[in-house]
Amino acid sequence: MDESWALAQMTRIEVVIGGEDVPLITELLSEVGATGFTVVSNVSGLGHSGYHQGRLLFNDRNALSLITVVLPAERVRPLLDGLRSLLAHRSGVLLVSDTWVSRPEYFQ
Amino acid sequence: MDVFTQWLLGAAVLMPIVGSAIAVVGAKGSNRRRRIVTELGWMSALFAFGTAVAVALRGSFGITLGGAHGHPFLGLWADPLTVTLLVLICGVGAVVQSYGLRYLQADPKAERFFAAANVVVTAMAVVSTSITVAGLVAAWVVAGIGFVVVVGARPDLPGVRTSARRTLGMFVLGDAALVGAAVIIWLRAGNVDVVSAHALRLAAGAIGGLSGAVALLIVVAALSRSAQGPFGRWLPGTVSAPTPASALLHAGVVNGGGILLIRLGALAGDSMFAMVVAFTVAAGTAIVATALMTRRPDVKGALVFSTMGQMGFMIAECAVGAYLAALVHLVGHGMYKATLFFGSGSQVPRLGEEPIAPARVGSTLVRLLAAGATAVAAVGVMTAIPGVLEHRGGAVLLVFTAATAAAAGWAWWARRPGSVGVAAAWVASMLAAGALYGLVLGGLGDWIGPALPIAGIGTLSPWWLLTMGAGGLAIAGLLRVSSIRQRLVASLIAAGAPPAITGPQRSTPGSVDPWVGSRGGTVQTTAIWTEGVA
Amino acid sequence: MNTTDELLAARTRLLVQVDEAARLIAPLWPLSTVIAVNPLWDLRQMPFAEAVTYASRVLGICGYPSPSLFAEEYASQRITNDDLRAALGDCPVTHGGKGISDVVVLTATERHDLAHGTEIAATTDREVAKWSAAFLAGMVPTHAASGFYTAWRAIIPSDPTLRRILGKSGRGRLAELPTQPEDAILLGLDRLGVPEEDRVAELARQLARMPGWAGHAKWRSRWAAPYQPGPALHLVDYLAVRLSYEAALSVAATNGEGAMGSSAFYQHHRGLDEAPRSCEARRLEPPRLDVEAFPADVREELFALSGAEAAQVWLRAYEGHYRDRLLDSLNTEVDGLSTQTPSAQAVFCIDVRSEGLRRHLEAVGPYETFGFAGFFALPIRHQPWGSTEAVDLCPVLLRPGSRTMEKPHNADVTASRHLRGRQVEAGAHMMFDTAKKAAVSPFILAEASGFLAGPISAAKTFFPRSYAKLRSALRASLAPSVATVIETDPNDGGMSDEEQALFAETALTTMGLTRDFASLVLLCGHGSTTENNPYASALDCGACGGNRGGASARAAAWILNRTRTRELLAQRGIFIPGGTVFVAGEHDTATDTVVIYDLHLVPPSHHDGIAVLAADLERAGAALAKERARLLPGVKKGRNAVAQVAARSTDWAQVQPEWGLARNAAFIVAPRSVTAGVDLEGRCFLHSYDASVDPDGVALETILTAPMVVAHWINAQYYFSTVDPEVLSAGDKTVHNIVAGVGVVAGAGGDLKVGLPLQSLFESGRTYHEPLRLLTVVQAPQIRLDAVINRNPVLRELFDGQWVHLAARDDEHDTWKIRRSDGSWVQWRPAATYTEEVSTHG
Repeated sequence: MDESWALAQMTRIEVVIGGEDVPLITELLSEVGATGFTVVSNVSGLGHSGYHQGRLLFNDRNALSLITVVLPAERVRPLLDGLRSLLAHRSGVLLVSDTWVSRPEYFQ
Repeated sequence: MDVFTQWLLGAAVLMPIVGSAIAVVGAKGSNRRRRIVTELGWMSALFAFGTAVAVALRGSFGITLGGAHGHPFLGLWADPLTVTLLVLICGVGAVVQSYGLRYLQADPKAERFFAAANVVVTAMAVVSTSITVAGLVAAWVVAGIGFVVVVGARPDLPGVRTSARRTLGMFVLGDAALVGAAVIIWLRAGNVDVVSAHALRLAAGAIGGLSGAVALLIVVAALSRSAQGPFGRWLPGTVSAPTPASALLHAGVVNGGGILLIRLGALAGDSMFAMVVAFTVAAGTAIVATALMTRRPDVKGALVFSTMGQMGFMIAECAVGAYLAALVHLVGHGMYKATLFFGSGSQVPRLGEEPIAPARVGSTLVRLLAAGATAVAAVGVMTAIPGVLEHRGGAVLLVFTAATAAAAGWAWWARRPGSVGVAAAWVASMLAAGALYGLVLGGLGDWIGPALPIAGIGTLSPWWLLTMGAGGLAIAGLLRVSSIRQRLVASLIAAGAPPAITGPQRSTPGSVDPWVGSRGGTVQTTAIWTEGVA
Repeated sequence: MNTTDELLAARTRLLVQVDEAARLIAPLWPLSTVIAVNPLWDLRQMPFAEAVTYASRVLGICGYPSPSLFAEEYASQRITNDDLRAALGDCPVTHGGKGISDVVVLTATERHDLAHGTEIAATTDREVAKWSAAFLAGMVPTHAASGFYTAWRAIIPSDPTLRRILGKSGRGRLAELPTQPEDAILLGLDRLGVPEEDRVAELARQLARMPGWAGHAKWRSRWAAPYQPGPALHLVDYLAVRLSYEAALSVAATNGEGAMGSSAFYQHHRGLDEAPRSCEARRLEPPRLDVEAFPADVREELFALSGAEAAQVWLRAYEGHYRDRLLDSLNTEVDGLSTQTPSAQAVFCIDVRSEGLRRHLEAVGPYETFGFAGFFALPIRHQPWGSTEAVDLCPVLLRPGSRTMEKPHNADVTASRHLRGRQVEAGAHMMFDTAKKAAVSPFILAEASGFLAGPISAAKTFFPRSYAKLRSALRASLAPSVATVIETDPNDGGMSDEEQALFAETALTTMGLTRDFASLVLLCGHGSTTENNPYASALDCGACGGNRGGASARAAAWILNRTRTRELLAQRGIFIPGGTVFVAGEHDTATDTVVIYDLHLVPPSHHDGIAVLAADLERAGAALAKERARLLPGVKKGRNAVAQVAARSTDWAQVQPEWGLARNAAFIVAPRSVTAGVDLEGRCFLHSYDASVDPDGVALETILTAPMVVAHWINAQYYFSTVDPEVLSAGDKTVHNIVAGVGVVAGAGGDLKVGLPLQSLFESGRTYHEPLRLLTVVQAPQIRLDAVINRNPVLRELFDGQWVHLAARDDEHDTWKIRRSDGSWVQWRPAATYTEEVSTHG
């Protein structure tokens, strides 16, 4: 990547969590001012709490979901605080990475 | 008079108390027994109707008991006025019990309700038909006590005990006033015959200087029973009792104030002061209570405040001497409110049933014209019916009818299907509604008119009634003023709010054994159900 | 982090704490779509016993049936000594758990009230209830998109009640209320002196004081769809208002000292918790029971247990007795299925009320019935014709994916007449409502309409059936019925052909109907017609989100009849013969009548078949109505039972029109051959399942993770409403008062009622519903079943935690096995064999 690509750096946060907690996560996201996010429902995986098979046809809430949100780096810290306290007593996965986006104003 | 018709009258009045006795006999709840009691209620209603027919065909008659000839001690009188009230009371009693037969089927202690309700029906029937003051006042007190028992029939339900206590307190106050008035009348004029206009005039003369006090005491009793002004705090709590109790109350007990003022109109209407007090309190209650009704989020609470306002209207009509109007209101509103209480469980909007509304009519002018035309049509039809305008207050009623028809037209014209057929049907139905109302007014007026008291010297001009409309409009206007709106709405919500409900102990402090749970000292609702209904 | 970040971080942590605190509150759906839910659903990660103990300490509930109920059942031999022995011999009782002793049982203000005799908590309850009701009724002026807290904050300075309580000094504080609800909660907690580590417990108890309003807020925040109409009362806003009141009132009560930001207030009163916790749990000594009546071995063990442990044993004995009877009856060879080829197949919802109809239908003719969740695998958002609102017809565990629309079959004059008629009716209602509340009109309106209302009241009370007939005749003449079609259009948010085929395949495979189709297949949803019943939605189909199931059935039939669908299904191996027609119907569970829809879409060749089917359904329905009439209270013996049952559905005074799902006990996942001919007494949810067409267990997984969860919710709701009617049931229906169209309160005001009304659970004289936990019975290879359970945490939680019991067998020749909470399986043997064992071992 170089300057000519005209990309801005942001932080990407991905959370894998039970479908029931998605409304809480969206509440946290709107609290820190995230303007958008993506949810993929019915994902499967293996973790410390056992295997979660995702493909539940008639149940959105008891399967895992993956939530992806992109934020400017300055806004990440408060969100991390909240997510950490959530994952202290819920099974789930939190991934934070750097990412570059094409339209930074989209994510402000 | 004819023994058969006397027997009809007696049976209509006394059958409910027989039912009450049957309900009390025996320890365990029994469906069969309740059915019998309910059937007795039907029969009483049928007999009441029969008595009405007898009066229509053959004129007034009565049953007397004791005392010298011409001066009975107790008695029942059937004339067009009293028999209309009798049909209302017995009819309400029959429907309430039939409803209660199914509605209270799971409650093994419902016999208490049936017994007390029947006592109330008989007592109010005697209040409506009593010949003498003694009978009227005694029945009035019994009706009050009976109703307190109706409200308190289920002390295990939240809020019932408080409500029963408060109702008893208010009733005692009102009854004391009425008994006081009765004592004064007795001392000065003996056991007055309230049916005969001549006897009433004599009594008024005998009471002389104390007539003001008597009138005021009667007014206080009426205001207390009809939940007006400072005497009205007991009514909102009565929704803690099961629905049939509320229906009985709003159709048969709370209009007692109007019945009292109509029957004792000659004695109450003579004092200007008493009538002014009655009018002020009643009109004020009508305005305030109707405003409170619009800000009650619960169905039954809104109905309660609506009744308070309607009773205010009724008593104000009595205070201006428009007795026919008050009677029509008494009967009509009672049936209306009972129906709303019976059906209060259907106010749940289910999804997918609301049809797509037609487009809103843009022009306010068109709506105004439509409202005006509706008003004119309804009133026009009413004036065409003979007998409507002849009675005191008829013209004022027409003004109110015009306003009502205009409101209906305004609301309807906002969103209605734009088809000629529908518009024609609308006009026809408004004319029919006006005609029906006019027929009721005129017909009842012709028949009952002579039995109604003549407006006393203390009664105000009927045009004073318009203050209630003006007051309502004023509040509606104030609500549109944004600076006052917030305050006014907050006050309305706060004023109508119920007190804290003291229910079964649920927030027991400390650890609760999951086995035993939080069962505290108060009576548990389900515990009383374990006794069973045969 | 800078201060704004600190603030934001505090807020996000608070949101998580609020969520944690709200776990013991169950969501409360509005009355338009009543959903039965397990009140302790969000505590299911704990085992049943632990969750019940936790809830008993914070919510104050009883989690087990009462000793007197068990005494009665023991006396009537519903629980025998054998059952008790079997229960005692089973897994050891679980009790308590980690962290339970750390639970703070009282809020700060409750402690203050106890110590000083003030009424802060009760006043808060009253005021919060008042404003919540006013807000939901739309009476609090709101600005666009603001929530409950913002609206409350704007209007509260004008509230005369609060001004009076707070006095002059306190009023100034109202202006200092923060603008954000999260900040208000933080400020309130600070003022009350609650340290961060106790926050969750404090908030939990705050919510537990009024589980009804808290439940509504939780529904709105966690379960309601974003497009759900109506004022939105969110959980955070609700707590913000509560805590603002508590803080203001406690400051006023302590005259500004002691509670202002110091934890001294909190710590000072914390000691009060210790005293109640030292209460000993009572030993089980049920009244009316002669302890000597128990055999010695039972007596020794049973009465040595503590209250909660003994309760668990009794409950297991209670459940075990039913389980033994059920498995016994399933083992008995009953020649239930007729050997003829069926003249029609019928698919009913898994609802327990369908069991009776299926049994009678199979007895009346050569019919094959199946059980499948009432939404027929179609999670749709349905738009009824001519209506403004769309309805979500799927279980609440799902969000609907596609839209369906109802259209008139021929858009002709009748159609527009129908629409116009409905608009006239709605317009008349609105006009009446407006005139009732306007300035001058209520008085004359009341008296004039009273003279019509009176006779109507009398007619409705004395002749409900005739009145109902008259009313529907009038409605039909005003808005004549029109033949309509329910279809889905991919260009309009609907399902594409492939999606339709996928759903069709799912449905057919899951219930095992993939070959040998009859010429007529009836898809039968269900609904219930009752009059004047705020809980009407509770009697409708839970799988359709608390709505009637007819629309789902019609949509499914339309999809399955399409040629394109059948082509795609054929590609996947399901061949539906051209002569097979799917037809939709709806079973009215109040009257036990079945109406068959869309006859105009059925080819003439099948009309005779439908006529025969309809006649047989009528006969089966009548037989079922007679059977049910024996159990309904108030039915006169000897008179026409069917007519009496039908009259109940039109009677506005009838508080117990039908028993609904009372006495539900088991969920059976197996082919019909296992249950055919057995009288399950309308107590079982029946889901058809054929293991041979489900090699990878997807169908089994689908059934267990959705329909079984719904059945568990229903069972748990009935269970908890029965065992603790004071807190977890809606109380006596006769005093119910509808608030803002979303819930009921008892009497004048207070908390919204949660759970089911007493009339649905008890009849005068006894407890009608048997409070026991759901027993799931599965016929599938054990390996497959174990695999499905192991890959789904929700199933592990339910089965391991003993929320739901599980019995299974590989096939019809196998013996039944019971799953224990550690995942192992044991052979099932009836309780009587335990006695033999005891007597042989001495």
